[in-house]
Amino acid sequence: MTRGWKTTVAGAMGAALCATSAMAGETAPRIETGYNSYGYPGMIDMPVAHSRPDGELAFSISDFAGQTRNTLTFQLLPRLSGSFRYTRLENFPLSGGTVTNYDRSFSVHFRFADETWWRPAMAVGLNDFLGTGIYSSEYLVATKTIGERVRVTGGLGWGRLGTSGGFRNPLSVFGDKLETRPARDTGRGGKVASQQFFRGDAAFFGGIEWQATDRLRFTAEYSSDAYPREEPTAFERDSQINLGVTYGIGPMTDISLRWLYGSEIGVQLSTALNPKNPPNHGGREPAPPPVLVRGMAPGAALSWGGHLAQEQGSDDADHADRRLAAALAGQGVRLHGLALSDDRARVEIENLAWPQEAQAVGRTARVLSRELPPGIEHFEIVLVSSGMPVTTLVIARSDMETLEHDLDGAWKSFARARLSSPAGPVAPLDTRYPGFEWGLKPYLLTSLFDPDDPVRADLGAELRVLFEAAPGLEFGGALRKRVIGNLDESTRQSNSVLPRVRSEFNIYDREGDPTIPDLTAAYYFKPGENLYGRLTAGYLERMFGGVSGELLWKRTESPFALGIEVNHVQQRDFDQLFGFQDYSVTTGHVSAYLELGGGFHAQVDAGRYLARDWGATFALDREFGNGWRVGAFATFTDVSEDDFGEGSFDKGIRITIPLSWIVGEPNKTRYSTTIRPLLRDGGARLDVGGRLYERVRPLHKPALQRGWGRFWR
Amino acid sequence: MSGGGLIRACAAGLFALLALGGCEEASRTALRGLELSGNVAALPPQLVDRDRLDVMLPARGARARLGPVARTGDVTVWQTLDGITLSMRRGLLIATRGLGDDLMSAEVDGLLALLRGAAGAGAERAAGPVPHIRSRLDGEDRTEFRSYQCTRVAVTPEAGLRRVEILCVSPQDRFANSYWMDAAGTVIRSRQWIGPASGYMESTWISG
Repeated sequence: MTRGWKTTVAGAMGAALCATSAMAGETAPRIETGYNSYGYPGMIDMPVAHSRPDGELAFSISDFAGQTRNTLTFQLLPRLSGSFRYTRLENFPLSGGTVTNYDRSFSVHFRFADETWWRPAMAVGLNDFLGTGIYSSEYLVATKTIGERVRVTGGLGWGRLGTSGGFRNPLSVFGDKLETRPARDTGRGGKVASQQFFRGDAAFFGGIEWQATDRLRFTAEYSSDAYPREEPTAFERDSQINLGVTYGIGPMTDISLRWLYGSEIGVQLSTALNPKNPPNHGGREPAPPPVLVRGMAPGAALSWGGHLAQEQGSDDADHADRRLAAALAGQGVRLHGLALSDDRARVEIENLAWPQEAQAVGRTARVLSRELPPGIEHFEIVLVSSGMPVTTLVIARSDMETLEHDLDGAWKSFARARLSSPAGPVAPLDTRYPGFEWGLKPYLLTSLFDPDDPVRADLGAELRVLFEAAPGLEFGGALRKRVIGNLDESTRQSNSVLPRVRSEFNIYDREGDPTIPDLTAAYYFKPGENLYGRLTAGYLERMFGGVSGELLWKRTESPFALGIEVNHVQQRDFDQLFGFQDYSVTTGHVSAYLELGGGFHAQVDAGRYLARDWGATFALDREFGNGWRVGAFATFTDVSEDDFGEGSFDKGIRITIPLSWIVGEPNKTRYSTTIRPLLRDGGARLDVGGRLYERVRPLHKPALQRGWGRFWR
Repeated sequence: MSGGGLIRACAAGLFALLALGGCEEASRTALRGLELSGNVAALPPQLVDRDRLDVMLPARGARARLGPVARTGDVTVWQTLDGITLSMRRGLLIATRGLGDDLMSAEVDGLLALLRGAAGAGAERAAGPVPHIRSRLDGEDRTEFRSYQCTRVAVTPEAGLRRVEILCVSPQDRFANSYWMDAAGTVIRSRQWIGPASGYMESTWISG
């Protein structure tokens, strides 16, 4: 009778792929800040001082004269954005001839002053400060809006942005050293070229943007980039004036056509999404069962007591368990254990569906209010993960009854709930263990940035099984069979002088089919009140097998955690079945985790890596309330830059997207990907599954508190 | 421009984005990866009496008949067969669930006072403004309150009922609700604002 109230999942996914619309009604600027050909906020080739909305993740492709730039840009903070760029440069001069060059580079753009009625917005930026330095440049830029639809920009550029119309560096008043820009020691790339920053000749650039209609924008700019490397092999430069027109083909997508340097036509496509704006308005899961207020039950039919009375003598607590378990299962929650005493019910649950643990707690408490005898006043809900009791919440039944329809019921109920770390072990139902699950689903493996073919991928089927023998004791594994793909086409030979722990990944890709990516026995346990432990043995990941042990210390209310992990592993055969190669290593790390607030998470792992190198990994992630994560990491070890090879050290960015954000339905599945400019052997960490921090943290107080808005949903 | 190179490089970039599906968390939840729906079942309504509520969402072109599944104090929770609930305090909408972009909670004491005033003899008295607060979740699951000031703009007799129109204004938006009450002051029909995603709902109460 209600057909049409819900859109289909397919429709929802379609909407998600087409990027998300901006929230209506907020203060939309009359002039859109676009992405320039390098993918950071700008006009055509030149920057502007404004930024894009906080949290926006954008992808742009631009091309002219065989210069193709693919850029991923993240607005990390309202004022700060970072970009990662993969460029294809045709006709690039090299040792007398020309080649097609592939290059990776990073940029940062920082707006340090906002526009006011008398002052322009101002920003500073660094380009290609890590890589080989083809785009190495710095800028200082100011942008002022004039009237409602015109914006002018002027700035000063150094490096590449000071190559046309350059003059003596005005900063040289601070020292003659700033007059010359030292040549970059390109070497292996990857070094921060801070000795070059803001040095050498400087030049002015500028431009004007006219937002003719809401969708159409015209741009004219004066470029200070002489393309010193690309000209004249790639194209002839006749003018420094660039002209462009940009048309918005969707709320977050636009397309640009340009006339560049008096000689070339260029095109660009930019599209973006913002994790803050889910395509489905935060979900369309079925409504929760209403709280049943004691004394207002309209007879026996709905209450447990009544139910028992109806089926007098037929059964006992067993029946009650089953009834409660079925009611919870319908809400995406698995009943792990149940004990009733006096006025208190201890209910162990596992959240199977909800991205926010708080919603699982809320649904459970609602079900308990409907199913438990009226004498029970306190719900003691124990959140269980991998057989470990992680957090206990005591919720008063009377609070459920009085706060369900309260305006501020979410916060009031959180403030009244008592959270603690459970002391004792779990007390599972007889029916909970042993448990067996299996699933069959597609998998996608990709390989990026190989100059022979920048994108390769395999698509196949994965069968995954999990057998839970006892609380915390899990036997699991997977079997993969490739269906289609070209990962096996890579013939590039590793030139690594280190033990080849990662750089022969293409041999694994080539020789493995079918494969067993992992096959392990794992034991999760809680040795102390705030301690969590894991022991894993078997084929831990696609390239290594062995034993792994981990211990994590984390208090439920604390933003800080400490962990230690020790592994002894041996390299697996390339076919990724049961055999091993000769190389073995003892590797392990001490890890410190800190929630910085505002959704930022920092992590430091210090220890010994797979290639027997010692060092530390630094990671910073921004996590959105809905589970999106965008972060970056870098690893520095005692491997020299020469031994490491191209890139000098291991680094990358990583992105996690919750499936529930896309489809708007309750689901805990999250998709993660890590993009490394290069995958080499230095600073490589074991990729063992089931690490404790991410298993435990969502069940602790800070995460529960952040997600509590969903308690009543 | 070199067509082939552009296409190849473009494909590279696009694929880099699509490849986000690259690896899934290897955990027990992965086993449920493709079960998009069915994780949580819509409950069949367990009705508590024979009253019904007919509801239309003109903006979505949807209509449904709801039955009461809970009565707590002066709040009734109405449910559709497919698991959407509307919570009403004396006929005034205070929450939705399962609609998407749900109204999480609302405070309607002031609105109820305006309706009572309209039912009384001195309809000119106490026409507002009165406060009305609504909460919803933003894209990051944070509770967001919005405060409205509401005034009674008209009371007119219509088909044996008294029609009351109330205008609510916040700094960001505004809406106009209509309520049709019988002589006893019971809301028989209404046209009430839910939110930007669902628009207005039109409800008719059918006494069991």
